[in-house]
Amino acid sequence: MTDELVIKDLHVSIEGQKILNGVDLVVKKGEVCALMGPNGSGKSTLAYTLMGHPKYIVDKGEVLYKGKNILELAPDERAKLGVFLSFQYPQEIPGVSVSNFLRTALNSVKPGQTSVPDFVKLLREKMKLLKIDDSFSRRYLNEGFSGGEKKRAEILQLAVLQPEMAILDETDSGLDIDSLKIVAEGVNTLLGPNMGVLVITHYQRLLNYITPDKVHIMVKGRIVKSGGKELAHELEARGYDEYKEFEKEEVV
Amino acid sequence: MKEISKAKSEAADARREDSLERFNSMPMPKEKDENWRYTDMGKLKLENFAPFESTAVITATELSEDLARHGVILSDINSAMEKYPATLNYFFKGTDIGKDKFVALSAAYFAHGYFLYVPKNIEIKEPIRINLAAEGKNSVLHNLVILEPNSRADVIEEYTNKDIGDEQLNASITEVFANTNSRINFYHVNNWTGNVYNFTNLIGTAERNASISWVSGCFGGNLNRLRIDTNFNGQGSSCSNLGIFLGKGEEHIDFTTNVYHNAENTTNDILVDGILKDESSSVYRGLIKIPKEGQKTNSYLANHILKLGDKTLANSIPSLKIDANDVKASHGATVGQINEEHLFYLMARGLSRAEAERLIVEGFFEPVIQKIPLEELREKIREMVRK
Ligand SMILES: Nc1ncnc2c1ncn2[C@@H]1O[C@H](COP(=O)(O)OP(=O)(O)OP(=O)(O)O)[C@@H](O)[C@H]1O
Ligand SMILES: [Mg+2]
Repeated sequence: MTDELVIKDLHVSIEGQKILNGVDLVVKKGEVCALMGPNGSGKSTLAYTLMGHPKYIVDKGEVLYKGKNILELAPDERAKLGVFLSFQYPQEIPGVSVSNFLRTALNSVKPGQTSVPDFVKLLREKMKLLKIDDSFSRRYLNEGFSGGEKKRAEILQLAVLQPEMAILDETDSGLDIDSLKIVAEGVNTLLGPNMGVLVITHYQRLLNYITPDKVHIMVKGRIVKSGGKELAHELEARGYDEYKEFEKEEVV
Repeated sequence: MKEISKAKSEAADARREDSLERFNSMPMPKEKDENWRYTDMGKLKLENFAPFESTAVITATELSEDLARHGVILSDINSAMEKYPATLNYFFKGTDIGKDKFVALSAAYFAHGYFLYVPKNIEIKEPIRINLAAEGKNSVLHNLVILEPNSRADVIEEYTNKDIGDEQLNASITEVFANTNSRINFYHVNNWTGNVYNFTNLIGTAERNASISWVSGCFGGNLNRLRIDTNFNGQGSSCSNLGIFLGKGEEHIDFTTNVYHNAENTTNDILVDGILKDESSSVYRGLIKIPKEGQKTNSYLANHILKLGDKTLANSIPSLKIDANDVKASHGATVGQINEEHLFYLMARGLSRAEAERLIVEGFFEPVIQKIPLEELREKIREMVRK
């Protein structure tokens, strides 16, 4: 069971400010976990920390994956272990084409497995799956992409790199209804017994397509409630109010 | 390719002698001189190189019989001065040797150089290639390119050296004259290794409706100076100028462009992008001069520097000197560091820090490289950047 991602008592601060206050969470292989919570509760902070962003300082805790405390690894080493983050706000990289970038990335995470013609085929196939126009492979990575196009490009990267532990940070925000369906169906075809997914979202919409095995609610840098998929429906109906009360008690 | 020989020529000797006094009387440039600011000349001792005996080897494309029959000439400069006295009229028509000690050095000591002459209405389709291999301590040359009205040519100059484990000096001037309605694409790439002091000067003069397109790349060398001047002498003339440089180790790059809009309705567009690694430094100097005669001029200049590491040093000095009132001119310069968020994004996909940096560096140049009209050159410059 070393292929599960185990987050233990994780405390994280940024620029001296404490954001995560002891997060415990497990994402099993083959499982979809949803992480929900109000704005500013620390969901992206958790995602960035799992990927190793240098600005996020781990004050306490550990994250185990494949027998390692991945907090000790550089971001690229985490990616090579199979961890993937679909960014809430993907960066625009001038002058680096989507295809050049993805070929380099695939060679890094899975060295020597894909010849250039195979890569071209793979890229084309995944672009078709996500209904992304061929011309995008020649465009510079995310430069001038619309919000929705950026999210689709993130999932394209997921589809090409085929990681084993994927964190999707608000992949649904900025997508119109049709795009949401395409992206969600794309993610669905990638799911399987070998991939664990942590889906960060505000809305039930996405979870209608990607059914979570578990739902966790984060408030003020802590998981305040965990449950099954019905928890997401409850939230949709009632909001976070009851948890805010709960949070007061906890934090004081 | 054939070698451009070092022929004897009395006409050339006379010209060299005229320039010698001028050269001797000029002091070494100092950092406080406007045209040399931020370039430390302290380490260069010219007496170590005297008498500047040039041992470089220049090779050039062999002209087809057809072109030769139509009067195209590609020969060495010395015999051209002997055989075609008219060439003498062009000598230093585009610049004053007294303005630059190293232009004066080329004028006083050039041992060889190429001469390209394209007669009226002739269009040369295949690029003319010129390779300079500096094999000894000195390479001092003087090149001359003349395009007669309505002619067209592409020239690809490549300068390299064999590292001799000692100081090496390259001083060269290439004068390009684009007469009425002619068009030239001129590519200059230098790639030095070891302890090289390079002073390359490209001086272009565009007559009525003529156009010059410069594309240049500077790589390597201890002190690598490239100066490109464009004189807009005829109405409607235009010029585009793309430059790329990459500094590493303790290299210093001095990239200078000067444009003189001496006629109405002329257009100039300059883009110089550079990357500095390790402890390298650079200065970009860009002068746009528009006297009263230069009404209705459009002149633009942009310079972007990407600094990798805190030990690099970049200076950018654009300057506009405008005496005409109906012109459009602007300059922009940016000096930036690599974006840490970009690095993280790429590393999150599995690229090592070094690979991520490499992609960002290549990406930085890509928009300029995309503007180079010759695929061969685009690939060549990409390769240099990759090294
Ligand atoms: N650079 C920073 N400096 C100070 N505070 C920061 C910084 N970055 C994030 N924060 C704070 O950390 C908190 C958590 O932010 P985070 O982005 O993790 O929230 P989130 O749960 O992802 O919110 P959302 O649902 O809006 O995406 C917020 O209060 C935010 O303002
Ligand atoms: Mg967020």
